[in-house]
Amino acid sequence: MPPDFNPSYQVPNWGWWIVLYFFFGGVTGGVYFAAAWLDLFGDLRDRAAMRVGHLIAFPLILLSALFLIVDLGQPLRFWHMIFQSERFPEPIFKPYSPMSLGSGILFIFGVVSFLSFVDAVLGRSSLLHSPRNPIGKIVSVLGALAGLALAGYTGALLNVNNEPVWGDSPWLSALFLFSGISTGIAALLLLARRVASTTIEKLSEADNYMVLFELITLVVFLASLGAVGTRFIFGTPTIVLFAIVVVIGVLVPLAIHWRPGLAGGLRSASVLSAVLVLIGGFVLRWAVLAAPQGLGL
Amino acid sequence: MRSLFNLPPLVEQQQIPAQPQVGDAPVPGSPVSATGTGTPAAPVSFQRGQSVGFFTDTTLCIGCKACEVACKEWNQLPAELDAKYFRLSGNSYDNTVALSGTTYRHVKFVEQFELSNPNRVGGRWLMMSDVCKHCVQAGCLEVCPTGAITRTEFDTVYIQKDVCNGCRYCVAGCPYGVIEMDQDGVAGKCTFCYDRLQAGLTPACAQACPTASIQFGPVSELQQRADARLLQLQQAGRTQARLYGRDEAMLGGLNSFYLLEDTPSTYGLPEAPHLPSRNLPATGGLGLVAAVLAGIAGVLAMRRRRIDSVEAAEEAR
Repeated sequence: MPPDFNPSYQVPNWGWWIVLYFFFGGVTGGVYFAAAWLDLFGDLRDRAAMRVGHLIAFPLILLSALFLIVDLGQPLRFWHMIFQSERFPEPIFKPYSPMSLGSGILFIFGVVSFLSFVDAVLGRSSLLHSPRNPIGKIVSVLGALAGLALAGYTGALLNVNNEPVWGDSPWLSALFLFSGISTGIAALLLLARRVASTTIEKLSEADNYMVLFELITLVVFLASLGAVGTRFIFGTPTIVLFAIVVVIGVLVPLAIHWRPGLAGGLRSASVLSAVLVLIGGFVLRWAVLAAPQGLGL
Repeated sequence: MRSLFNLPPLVEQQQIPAQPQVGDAPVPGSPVSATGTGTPAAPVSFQRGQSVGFFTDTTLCIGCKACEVACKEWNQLPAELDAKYFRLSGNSYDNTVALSGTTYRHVKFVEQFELSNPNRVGGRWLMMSDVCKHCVQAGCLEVCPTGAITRTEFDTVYIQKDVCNGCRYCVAGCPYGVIEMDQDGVAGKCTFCYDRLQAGLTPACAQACPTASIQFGPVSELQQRADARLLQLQQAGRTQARLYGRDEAMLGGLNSFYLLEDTPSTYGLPEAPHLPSRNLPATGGLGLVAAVLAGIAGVLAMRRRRIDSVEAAEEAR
């Protein structure tokens, strides 16, 4: 019989554009979350890093959306995910479909991050996000929630389907959320260079937590796959990608955070670990998407 | 080995009555009729608002692929000749291999022969004309974010190609691997010949099937026919015979259901298909827990070295 006889599933061919979308979606969600937490729970010395977060979150979400649109079979119909095509401008929203939910999350996150971006560019974050402006705090809370949802919904999207691996473990949403937040904090650590040492320490500590949670969730995710994992991940080249995620994206950054002296001090350690966490976040999405589809996607 | 065709056929002789004309399409709500191969002596009657479906009796399939050809002809579907879709198997009598965005019907050949047994004693073919199951609870329809996938007045599942934007979530959402993208980058699958139904015609595949393996009609009527056929086979000693998707337990019932002669997995069918949304509570709940954990960890990290006053901040610099 033919080699691909009896498939009970067909792969959706979500390739490199979707890997990039998932990666940058997580990064931007994490960046805004970190900026919002600096705004809400940090002190005056953290304002500079918060502003950098607001400056990069909106361009990154635009970039993410671009990757998503380019991947569509009919890119000019991207708006069909937000509005009913035959009853424009009536919205379309299916809360039980993570992709529809994600379109709404993207929309809300885009609006909120745009407001913060404008404030950062025009007002140097002193209007909307001035230290004691309650409206700015509300915007930060909304943006942080949308950022968390943006980072995590991509995992839920993969789980809510019938593909092997993706559909076999509910832990993907938590895994992508922790990974997205950790890559977002890493991006902020990388780009916000002229900030107080205490801000770097806070962000590094937060990143430690996220990377640690990511490691635990990744182990549980792989263990929960059972026979499916054995067939599609263990014993296949995909396991090499997961090994890279664990070593380069998790263990080495944790070691660097633990002993910053190994990397030549706090600031250089934060740069090195941030780069590794970002690499790990990208490879994680590649590995998960590749599991049922193949490494070449 | 007992021949698959020792039993009296369900249909004695294929007779194709005169075709209703497209211009004679009945008004909405009124009975419409079609030529049904399952009961060729009389046209199949069905109404708008009534569930119609296929009952595919795999014991009658001879693998002629007339259904595939008829489907391609009626729906003007191209042969799969470009590099991506060109996939003659080269190692099977089944040369079209699988359903795709431009192959809405596919006759599976389950070829059970041992290579070590060249005279083929004990081997067998199982044939099954596969198609979209038009599930009552359809995974593709559930996940489609654009509303391109809809349920018709005949209870069939239909893709509006001018609405689909090619996100491919339906491909991942279908538990049967039915949907693929066509050359225009939008999702393609069996339309249940929606245009023919509107004109009171039998779908092209059922019309073309020479053995009445594919039977068309109101689902309730097909279920009765399937029950009778199953009983007939079991009384004849074919104890492996079973119905697949006839009952509501499977995705609310499949409007295209099957009579099989072996386990579903033998035919490449999932034993227990489920809706994608089955995973939503668990993955959503875990995501929520993760968000709370991330929030708490973030607060802990931010608060530890917090300095509230401007003066203290200046001092710290």
